[in-house]
Amino acid sequence: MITWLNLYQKPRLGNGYLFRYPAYRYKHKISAMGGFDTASCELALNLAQAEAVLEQWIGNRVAFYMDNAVEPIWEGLVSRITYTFGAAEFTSSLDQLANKTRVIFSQRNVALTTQITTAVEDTASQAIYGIKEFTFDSGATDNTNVDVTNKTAKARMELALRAYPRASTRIRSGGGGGMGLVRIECVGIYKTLEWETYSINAAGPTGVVGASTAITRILSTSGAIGERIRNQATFFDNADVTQVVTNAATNWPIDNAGGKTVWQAIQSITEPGDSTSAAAGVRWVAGVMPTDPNLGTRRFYYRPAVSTIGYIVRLRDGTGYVRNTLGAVVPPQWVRPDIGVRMVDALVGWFGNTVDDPREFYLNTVEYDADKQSVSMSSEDDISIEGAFQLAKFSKAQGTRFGSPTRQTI
Amino acid sequence: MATNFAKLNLCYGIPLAPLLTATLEKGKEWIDLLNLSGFVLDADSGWIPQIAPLKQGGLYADSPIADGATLIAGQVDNVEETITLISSGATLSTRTALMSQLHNYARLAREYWTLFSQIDPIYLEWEALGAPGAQYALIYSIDIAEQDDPFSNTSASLASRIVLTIKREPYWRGIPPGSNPLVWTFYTRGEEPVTDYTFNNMSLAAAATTHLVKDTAVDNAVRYTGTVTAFTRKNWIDIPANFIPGDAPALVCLTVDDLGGNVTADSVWLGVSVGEITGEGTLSERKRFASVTVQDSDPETDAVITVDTGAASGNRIDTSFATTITMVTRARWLGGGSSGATNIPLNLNAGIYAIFARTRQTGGAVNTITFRVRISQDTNGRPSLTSVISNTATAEILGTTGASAAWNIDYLGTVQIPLDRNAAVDVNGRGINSNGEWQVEFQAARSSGAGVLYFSDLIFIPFDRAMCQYLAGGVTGNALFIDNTGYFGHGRNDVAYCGDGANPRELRGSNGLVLWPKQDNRIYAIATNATAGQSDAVATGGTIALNIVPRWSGVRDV
Repeated sequence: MITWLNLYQKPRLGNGYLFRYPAYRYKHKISAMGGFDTASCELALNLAQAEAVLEQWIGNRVAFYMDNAVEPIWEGLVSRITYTFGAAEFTSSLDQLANKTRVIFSQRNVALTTQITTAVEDTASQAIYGIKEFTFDSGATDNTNVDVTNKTAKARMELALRAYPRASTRIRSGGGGGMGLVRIECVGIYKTLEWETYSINAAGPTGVVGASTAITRILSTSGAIGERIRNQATFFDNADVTQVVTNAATNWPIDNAGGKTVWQAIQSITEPGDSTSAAAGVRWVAGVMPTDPNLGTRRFYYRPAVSTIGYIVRLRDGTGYVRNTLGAVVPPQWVRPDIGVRMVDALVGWFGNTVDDPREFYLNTVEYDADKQSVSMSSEDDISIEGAFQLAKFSKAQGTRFGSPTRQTI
Repeated sequence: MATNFAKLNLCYGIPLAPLLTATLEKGKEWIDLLNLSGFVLDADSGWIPQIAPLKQGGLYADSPIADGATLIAGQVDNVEETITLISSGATLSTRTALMSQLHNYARLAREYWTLFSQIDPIYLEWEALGAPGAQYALIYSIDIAEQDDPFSNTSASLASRIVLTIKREPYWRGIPPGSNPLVWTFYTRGEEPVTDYTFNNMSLAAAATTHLVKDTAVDNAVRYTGTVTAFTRKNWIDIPANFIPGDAPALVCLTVDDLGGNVTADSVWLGVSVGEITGEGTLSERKRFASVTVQDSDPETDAVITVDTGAASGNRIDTSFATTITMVTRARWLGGGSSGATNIPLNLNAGIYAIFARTRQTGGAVNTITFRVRISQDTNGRPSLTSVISNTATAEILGTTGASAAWNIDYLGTVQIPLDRNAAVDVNGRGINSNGEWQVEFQAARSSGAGVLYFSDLIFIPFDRAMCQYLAGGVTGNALFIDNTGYFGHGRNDVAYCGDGANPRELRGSNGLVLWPKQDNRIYAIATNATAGQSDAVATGGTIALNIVPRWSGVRDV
């Protein structure tokens, strides 16, 4: 069955439908923490269509449909487009776009202080793509002369360079190569929470609140700027907090120190789960839900992870089948994370009652390949590149090759 | 080899409708490949029509620790085949003119798929000797190889061998690509172009008189009249097996008009079910489960049946939450055995469905009442461990009592029936079980306030075969088309057309609908409006009309 790409307007501009194309070599990734994560496909377009795509599609919303016409198998935003034409490869991307920039730096005046410049913004770009912030770290200086003017100029320069998607080209030696297919790469809606900086100014509030309260303050439609998201009602309905479950067990200090993105703040709230200092609780997850077919909106979720077994896999099925607990096959495009998985034909007779059962695991991420009709399922022991780099973690383990740098104590 | 063919043409362009002269259409041109004075099939190695193979042999679930492998995906590939021709000409210039025409068609075939402005398809037209008619296949590319010296001017070389390597679509169609599918409909009626019909009789609009199948009584709900074979309301259209010849899924041009009361509907869902199962006893007719209404239901906690002429069955279930506000069963239907009005055995409902519920809330505050469905099997009237629970939806406050338009349809998710397999087999050794039981429970909860939930019906739209949704945008009075025959695509059907003929509409799900050959098919439909406060009416008198393009892997038999 074909995967279909339905293209819509950029969310800041509306929700109108534009085009529909068959999507080739489709893949997607869905994570328990975040929801729809990434997706990619290729489209067969003629030259004129490919040029229009390269120019116009960046930042547009997409939804991929297969058998069920009510629910897409994945949805998000177009983040990168690559068109290969002979030896030339043209790419346009949302990755380096920034329409709000600042520079953070440290300067020794009386004592070494960290300062941050006032943000400079391109409101015309924000009106199209939504607000996407970059904060540049300009290091430290021992110079007592005022440096903020220079840093503000730097922020303004970066804004001028990055306010709109930029195309890049690459000419490969030897010529030839791919022809004609346009590669589309997409990111999930939750990634837009990485676009904003959380509570960067010292004027923000302080204090300790419950974890779910901290989440709702971030999603709030009113309150201190910097603490709540500025892309209000743009990518999801932040006013609808019905999917934010109360978690009063764990507290979170409202933090007005700089440097975190909104998503990092959400990660740091969510990672303790509902544990207390005295006892471990259960893990919690957060992210953006798919568009509700009845409401027509997307909502933010913050809730306990699902710990019950929902899927069964068998070694003898290879990678072809995931089944529900009744034994019925779950089509691979509909396998979803945040659920327990049990392998039923391995280690038969296992009875290690003091050791965690290796046949059961919590499904953190699912990666689907339409051409292979298979899914790759990852738990905590994630051997993928993203797992090695601990990209999904706010608090990274020290001492590992790709973890947090060792912190010096004085 | 050539004596086995009555006709073999390489065609360019879509044939005109009979007697149509004032048109922007180019019309059909062709190169005869059975012409002794032009191109003719080589008598020794001319052409053997190939059957489309599975792509890459099929996709298998395979494991080194298990015997064998299981097919999990098997789509057919394009056909690549060679046609060896002899080109003849009285002079060299005659032959080179023929070759130039062939090269031109090869270029046009490529450009049809790669250039926006080349809109006329290139296709093969073939009629086997003794076949009931010609059959057609879209061509993607033509490679030409000359086997003899093309520049020789001796008389012996004026007949030279040429090998065409053609990539075409997997199946043969009953009418030319891009033709109006009514051409097939007229053929099935024994009607001839010009003498029996002209371009004036070929409208695809719902109001037109000629369609392969047309039903002007397609409602947005189901109402039984005591037995499973008698309805006063139905949300489907039946296409009998003998209307769908061929051996490959038939392409469909579908028209929908006024479904759900066209004034308010902005989404229409369509799903196809197939098959006929003859069970024991009195159940001799295929029944693919369409709806659960208040008929034959058992109201439970805080629920009563109330007459409501605006509900699907003429009755609704009112849930007051007087004693229990938590999520418990408010109504139950048993689908077991061969007796009863809507008791339909498990296997007659086998399939994968999208579930919709039609409800409304009266009184109370918004977002205080939620509901869901639980489906169980092998219950014997008792709750079973073998059950699935749908998503939960929130009731909408709407309308007034008795108004057929004062309802809201919500999507609750999907379910596979039977829950664990694709056929429930009897433990008593009788094979597929006509008495397998199952039940549907409608559950609801209220978080606060004093709202009352009204329930009308559940609608099940099958999608194990094909399902699509089109967004009608609340268009009033205009029929909408979903076409994957290629008529609206001027030959191209890689992306189905959806729109009113002038304005495209969004299509979701499968690439339009297809019908399965030599089997009874049924298309179910439901129309909704997503805007809060707008009603999803129990509307009547919608129209679904369709025409098809049948397809074959080999020689057509009809």
